[in-house]
Amino acid sequence: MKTLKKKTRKDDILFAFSRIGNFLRVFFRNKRGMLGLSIIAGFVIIALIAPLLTPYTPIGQDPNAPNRLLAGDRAAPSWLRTLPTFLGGNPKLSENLAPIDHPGLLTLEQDNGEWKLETDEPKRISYDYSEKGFPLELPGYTKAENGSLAITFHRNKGESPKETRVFVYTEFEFPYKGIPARLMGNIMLFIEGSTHSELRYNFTTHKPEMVPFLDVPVRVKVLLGPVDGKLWEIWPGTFHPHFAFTYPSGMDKEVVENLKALTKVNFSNPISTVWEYLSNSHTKNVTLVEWEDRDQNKALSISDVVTLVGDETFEDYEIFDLKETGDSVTMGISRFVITRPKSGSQTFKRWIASRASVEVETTTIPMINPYTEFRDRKDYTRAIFSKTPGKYIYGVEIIFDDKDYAGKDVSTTVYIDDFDLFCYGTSFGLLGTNQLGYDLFSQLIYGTQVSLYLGLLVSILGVSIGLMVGLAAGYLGRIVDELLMRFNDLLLCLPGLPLLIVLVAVLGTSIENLILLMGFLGWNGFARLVRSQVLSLKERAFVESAKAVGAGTGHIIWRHILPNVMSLVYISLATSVPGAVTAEASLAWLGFYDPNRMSWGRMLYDATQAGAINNWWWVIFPGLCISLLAVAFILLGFALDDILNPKLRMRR
Amino acid sequence: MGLRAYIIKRIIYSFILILLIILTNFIIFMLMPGDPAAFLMAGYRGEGKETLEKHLQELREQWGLTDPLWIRFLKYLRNLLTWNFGLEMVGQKPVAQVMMNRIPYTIFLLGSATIIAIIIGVLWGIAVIYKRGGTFDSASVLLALIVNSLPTFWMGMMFLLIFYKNLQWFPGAGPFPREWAIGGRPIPYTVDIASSSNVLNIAFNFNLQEAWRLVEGYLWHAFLPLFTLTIFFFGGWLLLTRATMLETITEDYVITARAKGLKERTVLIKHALKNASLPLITSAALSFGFILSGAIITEAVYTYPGLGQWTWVAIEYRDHTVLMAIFYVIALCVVIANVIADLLYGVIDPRIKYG
Repeated sequence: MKTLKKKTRKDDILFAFSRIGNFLRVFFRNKRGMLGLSIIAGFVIIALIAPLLTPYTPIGQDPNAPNRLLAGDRAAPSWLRTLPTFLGGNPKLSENLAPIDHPGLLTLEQDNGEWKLETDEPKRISYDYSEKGFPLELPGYTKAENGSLAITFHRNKGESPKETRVFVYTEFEFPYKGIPARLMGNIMLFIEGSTHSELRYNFTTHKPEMVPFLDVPVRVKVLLGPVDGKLWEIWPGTFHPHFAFTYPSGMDKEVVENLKALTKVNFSNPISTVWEYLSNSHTKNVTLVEWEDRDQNKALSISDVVTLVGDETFEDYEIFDLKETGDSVTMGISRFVITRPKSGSQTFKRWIASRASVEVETTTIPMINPYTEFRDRKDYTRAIFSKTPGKYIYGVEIIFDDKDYAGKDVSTTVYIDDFDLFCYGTSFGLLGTNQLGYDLFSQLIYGTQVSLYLGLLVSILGVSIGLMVGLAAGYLGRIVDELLMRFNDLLLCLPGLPLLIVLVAVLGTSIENLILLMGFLGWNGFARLVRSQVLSLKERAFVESAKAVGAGTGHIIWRHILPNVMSLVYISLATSVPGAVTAEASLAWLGFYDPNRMSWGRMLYDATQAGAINNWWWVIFPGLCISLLAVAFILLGFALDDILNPKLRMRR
Repeated sequence: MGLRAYIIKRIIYSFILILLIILTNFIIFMLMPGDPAAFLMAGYRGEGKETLEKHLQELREQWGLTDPLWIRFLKYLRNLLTWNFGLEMVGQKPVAQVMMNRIPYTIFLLGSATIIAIIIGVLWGIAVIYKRGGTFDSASVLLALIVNSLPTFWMGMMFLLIFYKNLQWFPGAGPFPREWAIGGRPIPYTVDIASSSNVLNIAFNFNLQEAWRLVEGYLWHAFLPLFTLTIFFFGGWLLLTRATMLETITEDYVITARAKGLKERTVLIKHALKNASLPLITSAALSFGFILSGAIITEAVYTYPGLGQWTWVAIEYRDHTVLMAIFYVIALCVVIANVIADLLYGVIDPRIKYG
């Protein structure tokens, strides 16, 4: 007779190992399970190494310059440029291009530079490379290191006054077949002079008037256009013949405060002063709009890029601040009302923005100027880039307007620095950009984290609650069973998704809330399953004998019942992930998303909100990811079901 | 315990459940923060904060939000029991009337989707069983799993992309052509415009051509949501049919039937399917109970003015009245469907003993 060996702890561990080994051996032979597992593993790896896969933030911004767009809004993926047309490719897409990229010191052709200088009065104009840079110590502005190009206009008392034009320009090659989405340029100007009065615009009378001041008026324009075509004024977008962009020389604090008083705008960062004018880009009839600051105390922050969001009636516009990065929807810091002027009078108020970098957005079309024929936002860029690919001229035109200074010695110097141009492309990266110019690929990559995190936690939470409820209801029975199951019935009767939405709307949309709510609402089915299993296990002989030996309730549940329902737990852990992932996506698509995280559902929400369903690359990939992840977990669950429920296997 | 006693027990139990639901419903919406008045007045552009405050207070009083809790509860109870759910907070229309206008859309959409899905799913399930164990079997199961786990809104967006934007076969939004709305105004697909007046029109001066035009318009607009929902639903039915029939084909009577030399088709349909139909029929009853709650996403994607879309709008505006009414009606349907399913069990399967 064989002697019974006493069971040791070591044996236990060995047994457990051999069980796991057996399980794995069976599992590795299961094709579906392996497929599911490898998809999940792929997603996990992507989620973990997300920062290595994309240089941008989860929202898709450049971490070094969060305010700058990565490309034009709603840019297409780059690979669409090379794809044949019948496959959906579009050769007329352009890429980001910096044709004139931080030139530093503007060096003229004569001095082996790339810039050319043209003038109609060569005798009165002289140039030099100034060492001095900008005299103003301004917050948030890094001084140009290598000085600036100084153009001096000089006329003696005896000579007759004449408007003098200087044009400093360069040529560049635009290699793409399509127009850029939008343009951005920088220019730094400083004007020094010694004359006596200046033409100023009076905001109350809407008439230009002479203001005593010590300089010659200088008009500055930035021009861009094809080499043999029309040069378009892209900045500052002059709108009034009497009020071109006038730079006072020796701009100092006094002037700055003066401007502030004029426009009620916080003028804290006066490097370059840009006038942006708003016009109705939808209808031709209403050309002028009026700004009304509802909250008089609150000044518009200067460095805002402003876009208009609104409908075609043009009655009610809200202005959203894009600088408060992150949220594409609700970040209105200043709310304005733009109303249609009741009379036909052309009244307007203006908005001054001072930024180191000036966005010439194609939606903001100057008002009374030759360009009013543009309705569509792209028309403007299309007009400028009339030949693609082609050669283009980009330059700054300076006009010294000394007509009113006859009989006086006049001398004004204009310092130009950091003059550049950037064309945002209509295609970008692997997946293009969203309506705010954020990288979609980055959003897709980081969306993996949210879905996995949420899916796994929800399934763990839901399954553990379901397990506890099922065990308690099934084993304890009677009043506990009755109470728990009636509560279960109650939850089953209330509509699931609407209830979830209501609770999310109530308690907040952070991802932790979502996890908790989905976990606490998603245990019913599993609890019923466990309960029915426990009810049958309870009557088995081994439980009877354990009771007879005198084992307590806790011991029986822990050692005899629980191990027998664990297979259900494993299966349910896998199969309840897809529901959670799709539920999160659905909530996000309805607008209930965590504003701090970018998820696949939120990408689709953005696509819907931006009316970009036609941008198939934006719609397909997040949905494919959701489905793939869901299917992977379902495959895993089925494989586990196959392996852990041998009864099923036999039947097939 | 006989059948009658069982029925009485079930009905009493259902009543208790309904009472509990009414209570839960109230508690949930009492907890709901967010002042509907503030939501409504968010776009307020009038002058002065005091005026705004006055307006808000007026609205709150009008909606009874300032009453003590127990008065609100009594009012709420009265509303539910008399089926007169009060006025919408935002639209100020009778909730019951709006609901009656919207329910036909939901019932039409989800009812037909469920029926089509059941037919496709069950037939496909039988076919799968007929060729069980092969590639067709596993491919079908995989397909069913995939369509079951696809997010509906994404399916909707894809169908819009393909059939509306690119091919332009089907319209993208609304339950009927835009021209039918009053004055040809494009935006609000308010339901009361179309349904009642058009139906009355048909009833009084019946005109076959006109009627067909009407039916065609509705069907054409309902196609995409119907398609989406059917695809979403049928997978579950396929899997259920397959699972229950797998149980029955190992039973002795099926082996006997085969032994008698009956055709495989006869065996499957007359012997296996009949015995497997019990869980199918009961879950069909249950799924009809959930019809009213089913399509919040699909209706939102296609701007289809059913209960789901209404729920969504009501949630956006924190419209307690509407939400309470919707939840109550849905829960009521589910409870009734449960009772019916239980009773069906007894009618169909004489082996069941109540007790």
